[in-house]
Amino acid sequence: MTVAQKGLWAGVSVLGASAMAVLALSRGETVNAAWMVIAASCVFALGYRFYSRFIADKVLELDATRPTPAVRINDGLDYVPTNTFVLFGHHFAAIAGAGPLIGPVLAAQMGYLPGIIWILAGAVFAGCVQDFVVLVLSTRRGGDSLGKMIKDELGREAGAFALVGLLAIMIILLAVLGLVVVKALANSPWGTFTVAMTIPIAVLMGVYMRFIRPGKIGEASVIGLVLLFAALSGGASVAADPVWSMWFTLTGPQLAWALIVYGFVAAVLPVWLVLAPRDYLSTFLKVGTIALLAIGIVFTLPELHMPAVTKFIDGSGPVWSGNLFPFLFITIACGAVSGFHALIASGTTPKMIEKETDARVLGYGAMVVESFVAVMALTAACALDPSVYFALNSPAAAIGVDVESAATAISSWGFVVTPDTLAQVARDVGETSILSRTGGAPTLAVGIAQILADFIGGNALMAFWYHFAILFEALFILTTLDAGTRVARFMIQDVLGSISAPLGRTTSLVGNILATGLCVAGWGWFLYQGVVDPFGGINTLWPLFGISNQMLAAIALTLATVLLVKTGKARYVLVTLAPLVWLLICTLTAAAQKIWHADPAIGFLAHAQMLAKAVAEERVMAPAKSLEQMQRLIFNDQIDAALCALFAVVVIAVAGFGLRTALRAHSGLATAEVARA
Amino acid sequence: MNDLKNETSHSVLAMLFNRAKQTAQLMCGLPDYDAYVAHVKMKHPDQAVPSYERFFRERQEARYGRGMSRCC
Repeated sequence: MTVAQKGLWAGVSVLGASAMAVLALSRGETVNAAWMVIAASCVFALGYRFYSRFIADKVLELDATRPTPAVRINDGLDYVPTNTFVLFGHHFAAIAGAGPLIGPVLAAQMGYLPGIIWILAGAVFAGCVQDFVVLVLSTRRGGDSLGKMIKDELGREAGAFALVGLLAIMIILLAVLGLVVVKALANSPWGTFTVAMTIPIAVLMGVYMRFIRPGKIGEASVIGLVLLFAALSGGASVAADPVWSMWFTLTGPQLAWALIVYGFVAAVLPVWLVLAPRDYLSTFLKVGTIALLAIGIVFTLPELHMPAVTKFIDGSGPVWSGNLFPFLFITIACGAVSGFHALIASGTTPKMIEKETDARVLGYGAMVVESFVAVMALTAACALDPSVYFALNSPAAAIGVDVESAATAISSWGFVVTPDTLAQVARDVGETSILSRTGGAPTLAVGIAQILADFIGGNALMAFWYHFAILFEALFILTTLDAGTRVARFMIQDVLGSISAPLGRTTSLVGNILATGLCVAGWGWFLYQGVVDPFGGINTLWPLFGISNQMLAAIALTLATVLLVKTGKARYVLVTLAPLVWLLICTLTAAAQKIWHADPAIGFLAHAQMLAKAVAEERVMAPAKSLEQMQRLIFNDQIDAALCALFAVVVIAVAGFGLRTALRAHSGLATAEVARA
Repeated sequence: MNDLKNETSHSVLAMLFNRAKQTAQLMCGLPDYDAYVAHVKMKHPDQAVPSYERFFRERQEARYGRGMSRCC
């Protein structure tokens, strides 16, 4: 490194540290979002330049001359050596989803500081490392999937455990994403109309690309986007019309059923009709909106009205319960470290890498960009007035159902607000109410609407931008719902096949319907319970999802650690072992607290016990309305506790198999060295 | 001289456009058709080159047929 370069990086370090200091030390006055952007840019630049290079050169010893699967196999279809920039776009589009937009929004209840620290530290030392290492491992194994690598390297039992865990994650992921859509669309005719319109628009695009102009993705997508914007502005007229608005004003449970039926139908239809065309739309809309938001934030540089740290770090927050440790670290999963990325990094990308050295920018680099998305989501949430943030994110059980009770409750937490202000925000975004729209998407939509309206169009366009943001999130969540149901269907069919061979055949209609039905019933059950849950559902489901996603990351890092030991790199083992240990501590503590914590707001069993005691005394506890309802809540608690236990067992088992394999490999290597000597 | 400069900037633009198009298509799981045609012609000269339509359908099914691991 030249002196000038050294000076440059020293400057970046000083700037980053100063920005972090401004963020950390500010008390009682607002901080500009610029400090957030600067801190993140500097930390990511340093992490990429130094840590990812260390991993590339020393730990993985990337070698540009080692032929990749794309070069060796090159079949023109799956295995194609691909330009780094083109492949980066592909990989980023695959890893970017709703997760990094939701987790940081929920985490904002503790203030912006805990969230930003975990996103930056988690990404640099855990998330980016996981993506990068798994990508290289898969590339060196011919593009093998995570599941296959676990089976090959840790044994069949470990593979079976991982598969069960994966199926459970899919179910809980689909339920929680469905819940986010329901919460955003409940009693919102504008939003519901727009999102409903995406179905006929997708079908039209699908038919166009199949029969009218085969394979013309570009043309079909332009047509689709134009129609989508037409539906978006049409939604305003629908909401204003007394008759039409009635048709599109749906309650939570109605929307839940609509999603369940939709999920089933969409997953058994041919892919060219709905799934593929909507995926094209959501991909372009996603990348476009992320870019627009980044530009919006940089140009408007909003003030962060959320305090650095709120009093809710003690675990008493209304958005989700539990202390900062461990719950902050599972609330923000995607954006800091996401196990799901290990599936993408061992999916199509490793089959298209041209040179092994490209893996650094693809694995580590793409995750840096994803973390930036999380930083933007946190910024958008913290730029809101905190009272508006808590009105949007607190369940009815905490703030009541009208603006008067909400204003009283939120003011009592120290965020003074009048009922009129809350009503005015709802009018600004074209909704009847913003209260208890939990799940992160509406909060982000209000934040995005404020930033974009500040940037383009002013207050007049606020309602448009709000519904645009809702549409953008709902669109790719629906795609995930559909695609995820298919993935889970084939997993279930594999299992069914071992019971009765004909059902396992992928062409079997009965097998297809049975497996799809089982999968939809699984996530539909959790979704419905979440929708009718008086505490908003997100309270229960998001921690379960966070635990499961981090559990998957722990499994991936276990594999990576074992392979470092196996290949004689034990001296660098901390690179993957340290984040692994941290994730194990977080997920297992969180799982144990969710099961056994004595506070009924946190522990499932304590909650069930409290209800059971009331039932024994024949006392109905609000918000339940009958003893029968209370019995059902008790059953839900038990299921949730069992699911937590399942996640814990899976992660402990895989870590155990990993430890066994690593110890064997280590002693084997030691013996070999002695023999050589 | 001027012509040459125009020529170069034109081809740079064309290349950038091509890259952007390839990126957008690959985001949807569609690899480069021209590269595929070149591959078939070189490696399997005895085989007929599949039409773009067939190639597109095959790739669509390959990407979505068993569902797609889409991130949360």
